[in-house]
Amino acid sequence: MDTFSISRVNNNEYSILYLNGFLDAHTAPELENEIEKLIQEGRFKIVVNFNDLNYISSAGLGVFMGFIEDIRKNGGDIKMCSMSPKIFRVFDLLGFPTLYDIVEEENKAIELFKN
Amino acid sequence: MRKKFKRDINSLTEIFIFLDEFVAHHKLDESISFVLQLAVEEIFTNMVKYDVQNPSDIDISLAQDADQVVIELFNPDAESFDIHQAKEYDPSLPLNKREPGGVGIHLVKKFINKIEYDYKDGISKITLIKYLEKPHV
Repeated sequence: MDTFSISRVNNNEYSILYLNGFLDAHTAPELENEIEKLIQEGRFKIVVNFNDLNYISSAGLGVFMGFIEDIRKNGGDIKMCSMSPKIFRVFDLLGFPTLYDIVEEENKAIELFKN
Repeated sequence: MRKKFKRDINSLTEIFIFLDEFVAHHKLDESISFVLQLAVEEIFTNMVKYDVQNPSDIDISLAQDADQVVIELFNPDAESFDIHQAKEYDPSLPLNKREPGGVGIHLVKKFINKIEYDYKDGISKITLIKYLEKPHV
C-alpha cells in the first residue's frame, strides 16, 4: 500500500494541492492540517488535484465537507480535478458533483476561479 | 486468513497490508482491492469510533470462493448495533442539511453486494460479501 503526501503550489490568486497515495482515516488529518493552514493564510481559492491519489474513504471526503462553508463564506471555493474513475465514483455516490466543481483537467479548475 | 487488530485508527496501515496479502494471494483485480479496502476501513473505523474504551481487539477474517469474497469483522465485548438499522444517508441534500455520520456505511452499502449482521455472546459480527465477476471467455 501507499502512504499519503501533499504538496502545495501557490499562485497569486489561488493555491493548488496535489494529493498523493492513500487518503484514509489515519492520513486525513494531514489534509485537514494543510487546508487549515491555507485558511489561516487567507488563501481561500483552492484547487485540489487528485491525479496521484489512489484511494479515498469517507474520512477523506469529510475533510472537504468540513471546510467548504467557511471557505465559501470568505469568497473562495474548492475546485477538484484529475480524478481517476474509481475516486470519482466515491465522490459521485455521495452527491459531490452537485456541491463542488469537479473537472478533468487542472487548467480547467483554475479557469473556474478566473470566471 | 484471519488476524486480530488493535482497536485503534493507527491499525489501518496494518489492515491494508493484510488486505494486500489476501488480494495478491487470490490474484484479485485492483477494482476488488479498492472495494475491500474501503469497506473494511469504514466498518473498522466505526467499530473503533463508537467503542473507544473497549480494550478488545477486532478480528478480521477474509475468504474467497469461486465467485465471491467474504469478509467478517468480529467486534467482541460490544453493544449490539445492526448496520441495517443505521440512519440512511441522503446524498441529494444540500450541504447545510446534511448531518454528520452515516457516510461510511452509505458507501459500504453501495460497494458491497450483501451485508449480514449477527450478535451472539457479546460479539457483534458484520459479514460483507462482494460478488466477483466471472471472466469473459
